[in-house]
Amino acid sequence: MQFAGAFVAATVVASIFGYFYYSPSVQIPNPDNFTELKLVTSDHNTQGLEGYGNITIDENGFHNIVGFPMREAQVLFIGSSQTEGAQVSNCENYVALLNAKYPELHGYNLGISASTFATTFIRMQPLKDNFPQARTLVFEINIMPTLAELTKMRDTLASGDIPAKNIDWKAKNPLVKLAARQPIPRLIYKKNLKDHASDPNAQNKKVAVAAFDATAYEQTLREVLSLGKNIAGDSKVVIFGLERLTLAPDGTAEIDSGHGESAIFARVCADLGISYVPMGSYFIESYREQHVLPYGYYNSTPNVGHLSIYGHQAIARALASELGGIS
Amino acid sequence: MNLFSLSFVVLWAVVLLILYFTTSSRLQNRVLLVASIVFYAAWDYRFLALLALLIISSYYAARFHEHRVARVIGVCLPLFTLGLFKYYDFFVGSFCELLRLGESATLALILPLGISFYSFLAISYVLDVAKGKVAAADLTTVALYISFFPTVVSGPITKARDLLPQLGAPRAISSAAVAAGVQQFIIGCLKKFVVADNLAPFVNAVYQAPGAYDTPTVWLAVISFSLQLYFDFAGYSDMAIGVARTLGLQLAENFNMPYLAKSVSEFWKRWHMSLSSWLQEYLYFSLGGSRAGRLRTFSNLLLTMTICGLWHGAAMTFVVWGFLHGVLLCLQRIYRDGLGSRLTLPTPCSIALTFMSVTLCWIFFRASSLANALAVFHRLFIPQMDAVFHPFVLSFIAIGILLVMVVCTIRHENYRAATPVVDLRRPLGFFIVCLELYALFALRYAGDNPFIYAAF
Repeated sequence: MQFAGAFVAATVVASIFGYFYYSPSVQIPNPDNFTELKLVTSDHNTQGLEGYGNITIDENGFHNIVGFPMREAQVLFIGSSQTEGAQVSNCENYVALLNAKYPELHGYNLGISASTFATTFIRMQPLKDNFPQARTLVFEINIMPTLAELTKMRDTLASGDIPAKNIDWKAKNPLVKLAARQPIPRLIYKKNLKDHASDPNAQNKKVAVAAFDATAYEQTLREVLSLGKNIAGDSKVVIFGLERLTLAPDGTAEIDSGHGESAIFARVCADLGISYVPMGSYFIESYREQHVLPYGYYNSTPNVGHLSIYGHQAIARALASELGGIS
Repeated sequence: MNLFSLSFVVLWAVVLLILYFTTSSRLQNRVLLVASIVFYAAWDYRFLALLALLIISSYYAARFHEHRVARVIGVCLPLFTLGLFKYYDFFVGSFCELLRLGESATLALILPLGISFYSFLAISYVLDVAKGKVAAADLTTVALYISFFPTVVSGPITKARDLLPQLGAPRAISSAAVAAGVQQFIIGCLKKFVVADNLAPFVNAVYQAPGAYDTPTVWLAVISFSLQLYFDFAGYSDMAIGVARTLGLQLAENFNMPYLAKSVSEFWKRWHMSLSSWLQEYLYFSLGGSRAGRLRTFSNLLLTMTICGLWHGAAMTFVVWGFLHGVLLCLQRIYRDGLGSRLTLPTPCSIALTFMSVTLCWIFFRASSLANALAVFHRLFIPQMDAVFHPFVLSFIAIGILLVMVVCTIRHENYRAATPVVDLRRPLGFFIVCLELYALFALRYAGDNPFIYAAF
């Protein structure tokens, strides 16, 4: 009996710890159909390669100011957890910074954890349907899409057949939902987490292995963006790329240009009248002048992972000039 | 097969179960040998033949140790394989680079896992038998001694005279030993996967681009590496010793709060004790030790420590690291013989001075090249504040953990660090172990960081 009590006591202590420090995000299907997923309201911490991050999700799920009239949003910011503002506070993500600086902007944060450009850009039509008043659509690219993804995007946009909501492993597994609060199921959940978190550059590595066909990439991208621009109609489309910085031993910083996808995006967007804003130069400017890095926190690896407050500030500065005309 | 994996736990459990129902030491050794072969093959089966070659050569060299040729083969064959796989490319490559001949003569051989460790075990066996410190054992026992699965990858390098008598005696698997061993294993996991692995990404980032970070951040990274290395390797040693303990075998402790040392020589009596003891007995003493005059003592110290550095890795950074430790040991002797009797530093100052000396030497150990090490030194000692400031929180937590360990060690009798083992028959002990397990699974680093010493 005493041992059962000891076990229960240890579980309670660990659960209290887990509640405050170790609850993973749980995502549920979003019935509004404008994005694929929506986060449940919660305060939680996540563990990944970045250590432990505190995330507060509001009732809309996307780090927006509580009570913000979402149907009045003029500018929609669509992206991944970087746009969502994972691991920074509600007032520190770049959407909040822009709204604070330009109240007339009416920007709305639609960043969703685990989204990619490939999964967000194809939902242009639901976005237009749900936010008919929106005049500007700002898309984030966290990781450059592959040629295969672009091809799939093109087919989806051309057919209008948006795939069923991508309810991923986080939402399906009932044990995972338990793990949001309990450390024991966490043991089972860990493997899933590791598979997703252990190699943040896995997608890039796959691209590196396959030969990069710049001509096909540019051609397919042109088709994708043309289709998207047509659906957007009179709404302005802005795309920005979250480039990574490579730090040399002597402290100099360079933009990691990968296969040159960013340059291709810039060229195609310019031809189609879409604004493309690569963030690398802004990040370098912040690094040189303020000695800050766009990614990472004091409890995680510097220059890796999610955007720091400095990264969000640099994006806000970059987008402010791009969106200035609208406000 | 990682020591912290389901497959290893299954192997461990199966071996334990079989040993529990086996009373004959010969049968137990055979079971352990099969487990060791499975374990090593799971890492890399291609080098089983090399391992077998060293086992057989050591067995026959010890059996015929009266013949000088046998002894020479027994010592030189492990050294030759070590030299071929680990050092050939380094020396030949350096020579070719010096003469600008290109790298055509290098072999680019894959380094067999654990070769530095099992080569030394093989030599230890032959020399201990030759010196009459232990009797020659049968082939199964020798094979088990050299390939024992908890120690084959990263030690501890248990001397033949310490382990062979245990392997020859009947062993009973007791619940107390299993409980203590499992707890030591869990504590080792906590050190490695919770503390060391969470420090690693920060250390890696700063060492990769020291010029990008300001002086306080680089200092923090340098100190963090000292902690990372300690928790990484001490964690592995605890895991290995814990596993052996459950199997009824007592391996010597490998660490005894090294950062509590008051001098560099004391540091080496507390850090990687199995290696330093091996080098002292089989190399330093063989060279004459400190009995052949002052200059000879200094040269012996420098040579031993440089070889110690080279043992860790075939790179100039390790050579410099070892040489610097040799220099520090020489300086300590000069101080002791000169000022030492008149000027004694307070204990906290001695500990701090030793820790800083060792920590600065670790820069060469960690750096990817000499240029990288010099860049770190440059940033440490030429203050630069106009750079990225990154006060990594976990470094301070790790420093706090180390301080707690230091206090616990000082309170312990004779300053001897011992793995805290609680009584699982009491509810409080059971509660503590449950918490340890929760902490291990909840706080461990989500990515993969191999054991640092597994690379050696």
